[in-house]
Amino acid sequence: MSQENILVIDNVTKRFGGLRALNKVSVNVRKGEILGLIGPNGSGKTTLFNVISGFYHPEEGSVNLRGEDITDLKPHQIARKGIGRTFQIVRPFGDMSVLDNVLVSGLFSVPRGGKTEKVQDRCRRILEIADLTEKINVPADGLSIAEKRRLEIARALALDPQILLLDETMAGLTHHEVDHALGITSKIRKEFGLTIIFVEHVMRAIMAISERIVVLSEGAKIAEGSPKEVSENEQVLTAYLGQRGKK
Amino acid sequence: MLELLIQTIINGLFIGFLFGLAGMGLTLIFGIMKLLNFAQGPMIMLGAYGAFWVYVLLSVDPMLGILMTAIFGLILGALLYRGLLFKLVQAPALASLLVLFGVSMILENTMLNLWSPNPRSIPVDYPTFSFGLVTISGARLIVSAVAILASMLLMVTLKWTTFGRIIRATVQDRNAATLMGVDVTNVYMVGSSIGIGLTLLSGGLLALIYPFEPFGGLQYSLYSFVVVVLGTLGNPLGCLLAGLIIGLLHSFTGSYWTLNMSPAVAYLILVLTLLFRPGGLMAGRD
Amino acid sequence: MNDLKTSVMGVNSLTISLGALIVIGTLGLVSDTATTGYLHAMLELMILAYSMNLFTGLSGYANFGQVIFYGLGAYTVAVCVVAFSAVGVVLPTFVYVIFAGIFAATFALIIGFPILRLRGDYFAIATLGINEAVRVTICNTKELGEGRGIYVLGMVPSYDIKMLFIQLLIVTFAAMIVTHLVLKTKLGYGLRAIRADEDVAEIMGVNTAKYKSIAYSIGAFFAGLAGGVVTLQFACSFPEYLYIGRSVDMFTAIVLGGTGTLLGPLLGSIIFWTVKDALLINFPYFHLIIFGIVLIIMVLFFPRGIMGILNRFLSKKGKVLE
Repeated sequence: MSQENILVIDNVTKRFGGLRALNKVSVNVRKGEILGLIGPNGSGKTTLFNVISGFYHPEEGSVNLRGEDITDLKPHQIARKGIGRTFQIVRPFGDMSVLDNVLVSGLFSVPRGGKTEKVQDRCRRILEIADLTEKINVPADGLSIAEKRRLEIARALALDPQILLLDETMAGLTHHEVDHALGITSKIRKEFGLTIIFVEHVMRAIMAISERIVVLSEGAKIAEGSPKEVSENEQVLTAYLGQRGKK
Repeated sequence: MLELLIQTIINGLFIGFLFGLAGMGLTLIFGIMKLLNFAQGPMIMLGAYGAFWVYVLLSVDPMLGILMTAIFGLILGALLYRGLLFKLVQAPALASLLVLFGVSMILENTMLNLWSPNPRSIPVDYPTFSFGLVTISGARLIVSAVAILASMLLMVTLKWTTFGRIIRATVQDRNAATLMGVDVTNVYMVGSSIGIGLTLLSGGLLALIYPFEPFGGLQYSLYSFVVVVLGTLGNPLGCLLAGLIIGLLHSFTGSYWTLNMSPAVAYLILVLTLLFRPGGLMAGRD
Repeated sequence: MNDLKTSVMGVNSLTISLGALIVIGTLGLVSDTATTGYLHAMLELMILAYSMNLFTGLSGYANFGQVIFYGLGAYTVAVCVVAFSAVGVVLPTFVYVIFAGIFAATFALIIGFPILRLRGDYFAIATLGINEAVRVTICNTKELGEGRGIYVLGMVPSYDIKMLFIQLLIVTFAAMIVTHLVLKTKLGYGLRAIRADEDVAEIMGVNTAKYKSIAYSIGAFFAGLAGGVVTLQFACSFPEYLYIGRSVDMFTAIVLGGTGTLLGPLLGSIIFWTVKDALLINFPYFHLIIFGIVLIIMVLFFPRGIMGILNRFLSKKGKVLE
């Protein structure tokens, strides 16, 4: 199965002071796949997301989107090129209504002169998929944690992205809510034909939907492969158990 | 020429210690609570009026009045925290700035009602010392001595006492300090108390050298902001050094250009620091 | 769909605003000079409140130096009138006022480029610092009249208060329309997102630097226009026009009415102005203490102002006003 690479992360190094948060990490993301990104706490997963979305600029290496170098672009430029993301600690626009939250990215994703009404319709459809239609006028602050996470997904979707970065969208959810979220994630993928990269700790979720997994540990990539391959990898087991042993 | 230079430097250092002291009050509150005391200037004026009142009503030595004002400031700081500032610790910048702006309005207009809009001063007859053509007024000498003493006391407390360590821990990481069993609410209250106490003390000392008026605080707010930004927000030693730099700048502008332009020069330094070295001169050091 | 209707009994916020403006305008034009003067001052505050609202109200940036644009507008008119009449040219007064707006907006664009990178307390300090630096510099510049100001008496046609009032009405009308348009478009959504969380706004595709700069300049433009008219009114531009107290009035008005809305600045400045006037008569020395207390209470307990309180009731009926 040879597929074209939509996102190429090549040899990326990101330092904070003396600490290497990412150390020569290379990942190829294939168009349309669901890629899981796992690793112990502090292994650099969120840092990698921040590098992809332009929040951090790496000291070395490059990020290419469909062959175009986006390493040094600003976050809003990268967003408009088609990369949407959510946040590990949810960050909705608290005092704005659910619809307005989604409208922001909806409006800013369309080229100049885009009609507000059209964008509104699209945003409503997205909110329907995210199961938030009932809450359309509620200020985002008034949502439950599960709803806030769904709102973040909807907001990222309104950007009309080609790649969706999901940062622990299942953390802190109940068993039932995880099922709900998984359902929505597969629905999104089918409907929008997206490439999804997600960071997750909920093992059940990772095994259920990822087609390929990349494992980071202490800022470096230590394994890559199918869920089965990764779960049998020596190094991965050591990284997880080793960390537990230290603590 | 040389006399003018020496005189300028001496005056600059004297006023610099006072600026440094005022800045310390501000920087302490900012460091601990991440709260910019926008009412800093009016509080300095309040300190000046407090010292003035004690001096006029009780006809005692102004130094005693200044001491009483500082103690009043400690109490005011604690009460203000309990009554108002605790609400601002987690608030967005705009909200807390507006609330403290409201506090400024209340303070300024209370002072206006109590003491009229006319500028006041405390006439002191401390002896003046002359060395050749260089003169040093006794008032300035006392003011700097008290300012140095208070700054040293604060720094020693922060550096070597348990209480100081608790404060420094809170400044560095609020959450970690909470996890280590520090009751941050109490730290905030004490920080607010000491911070506002120092501010009123600096106001009282200021009254010995300069005239003051109800709406004269804005200038001192800005001088304090310059000092804390230049000296790195939350860093008392940096603050004292920055105070000296600004004092010298103030004095040199006065001697070699015109005293009227001194604030403009200071504000320009403020804006440039914010733009090019937002961490202040001491950024990255402990 | 359970959408909120943005109108009450078929009337939306823009209609209410324009209706209020027509009432104020008619009152001002038919009544005696004293009343016109009173309403004139109210409109001036209203324009300043709208100018503050466009940037600070929507983006949440604590701008304590908005009054600088008002002051620079006033000085622009004074300097232009003096310069033009020196070469024997007399332009219609509104042209000078437009110059004032353009100069203020250009100044905002230039200083905005560096200072809009600062956030929170740092931005507030910088705006205050620039404001005072400019004021002190004007007070010490001989060509700008130092502390005395620049007089233009006799260099422009007579200052009929009704004529000036009409100019202010037009500027207020423009400020309302522009605010309405901003709220409805990308600019408004972008600014509100910045207010909520600037980093996230950027990641959602908002070019934050650009949108902050645009709003800052539009706000400055209107403050500059108001400043331009004031020079014509008093035939002089004083350094006092740059005094920070005026920024406090603007803040109090928009916080009272409701920041980031269309009706907020209107309601806020009408209430602020009437109450201030009443208090000034009855408690001449206490009115600013009372406003200080009101400001604190509003910010702490009613952060969305009167509009917030109003909408809390309206939303139960499925309606909302902007």
